[in-house]
Amino acid sequence: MLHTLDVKGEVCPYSTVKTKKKMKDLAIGDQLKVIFDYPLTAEEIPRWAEKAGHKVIEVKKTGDAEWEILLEKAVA
Amino acid sequence: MLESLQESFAAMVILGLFTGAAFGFTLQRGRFCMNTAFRDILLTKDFTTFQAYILALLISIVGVNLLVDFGLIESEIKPFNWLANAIGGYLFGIGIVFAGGCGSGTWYRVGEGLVGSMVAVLGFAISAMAASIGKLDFIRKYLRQEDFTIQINDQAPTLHGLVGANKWIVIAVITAALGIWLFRAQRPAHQKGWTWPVTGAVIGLLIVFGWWSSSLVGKAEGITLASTTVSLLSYPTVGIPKPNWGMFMLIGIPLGAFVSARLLGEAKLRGPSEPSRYLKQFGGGLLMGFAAMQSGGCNINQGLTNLSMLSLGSLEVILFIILGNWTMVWFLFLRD
Repeated sequence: MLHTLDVKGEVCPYSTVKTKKKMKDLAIGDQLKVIFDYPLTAEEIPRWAEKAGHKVIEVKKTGDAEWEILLEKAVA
Repeated sequence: MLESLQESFAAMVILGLFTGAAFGFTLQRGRFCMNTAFRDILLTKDFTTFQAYILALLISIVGVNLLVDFGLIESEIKPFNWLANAIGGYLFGIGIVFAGGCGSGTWYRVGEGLVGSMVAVLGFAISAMAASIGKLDFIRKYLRQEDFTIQINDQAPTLHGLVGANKWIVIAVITAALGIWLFRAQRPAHQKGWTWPVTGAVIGLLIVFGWWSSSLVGKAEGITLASTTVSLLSYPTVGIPKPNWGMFMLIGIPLGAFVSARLLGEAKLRGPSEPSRYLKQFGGGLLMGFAAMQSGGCNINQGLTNLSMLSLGSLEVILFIILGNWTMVWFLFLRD
């Protein structure tokens, strides 16, 4: 199942912390699309996700100061 | 020629703006913020930005001491106001969590178009002005009095003075120990901006360049963000101080950051959707500005510009900034 989390306007660490929280509620195999506008988040979320054991499927710049990350929950 | 430079207003403006713009450009490319650096150690166990800081510190220590030894600038050791440094550093560390960025982080994000950071800078300027030339200056005068100041042989203490060794031996030991740690550090993953070795190296060189460039057109002061923020508010409002290198350097930071962000397609006016967050960032700015006036400088001034002179007082400030930062990060994000 694909979930979406919009954290536009959030700076670190809020964008990462909110992503962490949201991932907790997902089932294994679920995907989460995170939409954000803060540059550092494009580095912080993937680094955190890999360390936590989740899959980073895609990090994409979608526009002026806009990005999307697609994660897949791989561990409980 | 160098003497005529000292008198030249244009040279001051150009050197100031250039130093600041190069610094701001680098901060934005490297996403260099000490709130990030210290917080991530605790929150995500990620050392990437901290490694950039340590590399910048090592390079500025070597470079600044070379400038001193070649007689290009004079060594200036920050006083060891142990009480003011501890209180100011700790409060500053708490403030940067609420403001969403340290002294340098907040200023470069202004150039990215983050309205929350603009609000934080306003808070910073107002309280720092009150605490330095306004009605609250009695607090800093009290905390920084002689009773709470430690001197060794009538001088402000330094790391090499403390261990009683030649400064280059101390520098060699520090560089070797931290250099080995950096060398073994992980190469960065998922980097979109500059990698930490590039960011750290350029920041370190710019700290050295800042000392030199400011010395050409006035008093050598190096890159500093707290007192200069006060000046940018006090000059238009109450007419002091006279325009100086530091004020133009500070104006250059958001300009350089804007250019960098614009080229990367990362510049846009934006901010949090919850109104309360602006108040929080304003409050964080207020706390930072007040705190920086107690501790004698922000994380850049104390953590790089003056720690490069091996001042013990600067080391104390940066350690307390880390402690304050970790206290708040634990309180806000890790408690449960």
